[in-house]
Amino acid sequence: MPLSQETVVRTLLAARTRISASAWMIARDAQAAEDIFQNLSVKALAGESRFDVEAQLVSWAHITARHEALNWIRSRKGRALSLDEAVLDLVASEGETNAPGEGLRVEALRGCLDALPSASRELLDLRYSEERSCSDIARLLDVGLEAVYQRLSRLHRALKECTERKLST
Amino acid sequence: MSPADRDVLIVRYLDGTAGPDEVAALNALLQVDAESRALIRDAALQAIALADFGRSRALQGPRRPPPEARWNPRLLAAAAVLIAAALCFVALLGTPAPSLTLVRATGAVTWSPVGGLPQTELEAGTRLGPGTVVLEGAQSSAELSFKDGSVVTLSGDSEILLPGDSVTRLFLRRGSLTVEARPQPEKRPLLLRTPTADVEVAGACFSLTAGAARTTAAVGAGKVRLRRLVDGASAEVPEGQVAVATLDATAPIEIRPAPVPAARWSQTFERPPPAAWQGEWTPADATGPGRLKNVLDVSYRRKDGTVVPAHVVSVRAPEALTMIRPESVLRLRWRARVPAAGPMVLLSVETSDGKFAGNFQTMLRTEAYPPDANGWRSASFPASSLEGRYPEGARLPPIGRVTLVFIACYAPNAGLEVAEVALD
Repeated sequence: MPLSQETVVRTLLAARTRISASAWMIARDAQAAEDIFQNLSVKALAGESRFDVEAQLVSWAHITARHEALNWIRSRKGRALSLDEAVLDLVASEGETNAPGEGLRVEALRGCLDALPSASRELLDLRYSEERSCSDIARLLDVGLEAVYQRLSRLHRALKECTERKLST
Repeated sequence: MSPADRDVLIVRYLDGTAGPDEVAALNALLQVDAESRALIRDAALQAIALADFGRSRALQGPRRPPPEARWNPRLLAAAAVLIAAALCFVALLGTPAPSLTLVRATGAVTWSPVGGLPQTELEAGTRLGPGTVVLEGAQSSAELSFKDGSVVTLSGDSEILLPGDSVTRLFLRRGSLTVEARPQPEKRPLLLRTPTADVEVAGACFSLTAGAARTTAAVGAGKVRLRRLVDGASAEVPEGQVAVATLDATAPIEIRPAPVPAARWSQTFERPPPAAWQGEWTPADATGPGRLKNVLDVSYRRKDGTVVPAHVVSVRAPEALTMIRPESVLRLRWRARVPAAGPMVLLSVETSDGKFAGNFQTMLRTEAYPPDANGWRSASFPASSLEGRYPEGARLPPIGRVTLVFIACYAPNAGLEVAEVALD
């Protein structure tokens, strides 16, 4: 028996951050990732594919998000290169199988962000909330580009470790 | 490769600046290193979560509508459920303090707060949090002010998304606006995004016009920085210059001096007019010269969302059609199927440095302009006789620039036709 529309909506929303992240990893554009999530949601609700269990829907959504993101980036002249599809599949498949509850992870991440020094939070906001490039940030903060890369990489790792600590306790 | 170098490589890839060799190295690394895969996966999650937090939980960016044929009622209902649920979902994460205030609005202006119902009867002073402002109809306008006194005036068919957080950031999905930006804090410029460009403003007066594939920024005072989204190329746009960003990354960003509007202007319709004109072109025939017949446009929306139409001939030109002075003379040649339906003539005017000066209008009394044998009437009147109605009591500047000429009848089946409009 196919999933009801209510279940499709609930399942997609529950996995929204991860599905959007699959698209973002390729497009590296939050607006495009959001559009892709909405488009695939409409496709799912339109009944173009039949889903009998939630896991099937989530898997389909991740694959569709990656394909749409690849199509999006290929349609944009001058865009940066993307990872190989096989690698993207590998990265995403581990994420699906190892995923704790998305709401819990987002909540844990929020707690970790709140604990960051203001300068670190500002850097993350500039990069991901305002979607500025690292070179823009370097200019705005009057620091070297390499310093921005290093600070961001340390922050990503620190947030990952902090989130995992919170989820394990 | 050291762990630190690996982490920086991932950041460079996510920044879009990694070269082919670096991306190839990252591919190779990710194939064999589970820790790297976990890190890049988590970085993407962090990016999406931060974007959600930072955009104040508003759904972001232009939506690409699905193919029209797929919008059957069942799908529409389902999509509505999804979108409503998504709005509730993000709204649950918290509502930030509003950062914009509605100063005034005219025409069909709809405010749709995130998680709330669309509102069409808006009062001055309404605080705007996260949501969308949609203007319908050529004469519609809405003025919004930031906490710091910076003002954004939307005009015509336009749509903006307001993140509503403390960051001074707007998304102009389509349409036109003018900005009077107060000097912004260092490192925190006002940022406007369109489908094709980011505009960074430290303090300037400028206009911005955006469509799906093109953004035009015209700077009247100060300067802005325009960044093309297709490739990240950016350029500073100084006072008196116009910059255009498109989806074409093969050419540099076009920057050119803003055209100086003509002191006199006349438009007849012996040939089809430029695409900016709103109206149905009709060639000359036995009953009259070439002309534009009205089209139906949204005048305003009632509280229940129903539409009040207007019969409209209009043209909008963000870079200005012509200069205007109080002593300028406006001429119009028109006819209407319903003689009593005297047309309203409205001009939208900017000051010479790009600030919105107001909408100025008059209602022509048909009895004052007798028709010829074919029903055509000719009116000629000074610009100083136009009333400043938006804002109420606005005065024409000594030298202004006309960005909209709007001629409309509101009677049903008005049958308005315009053969000439001129400003001398």
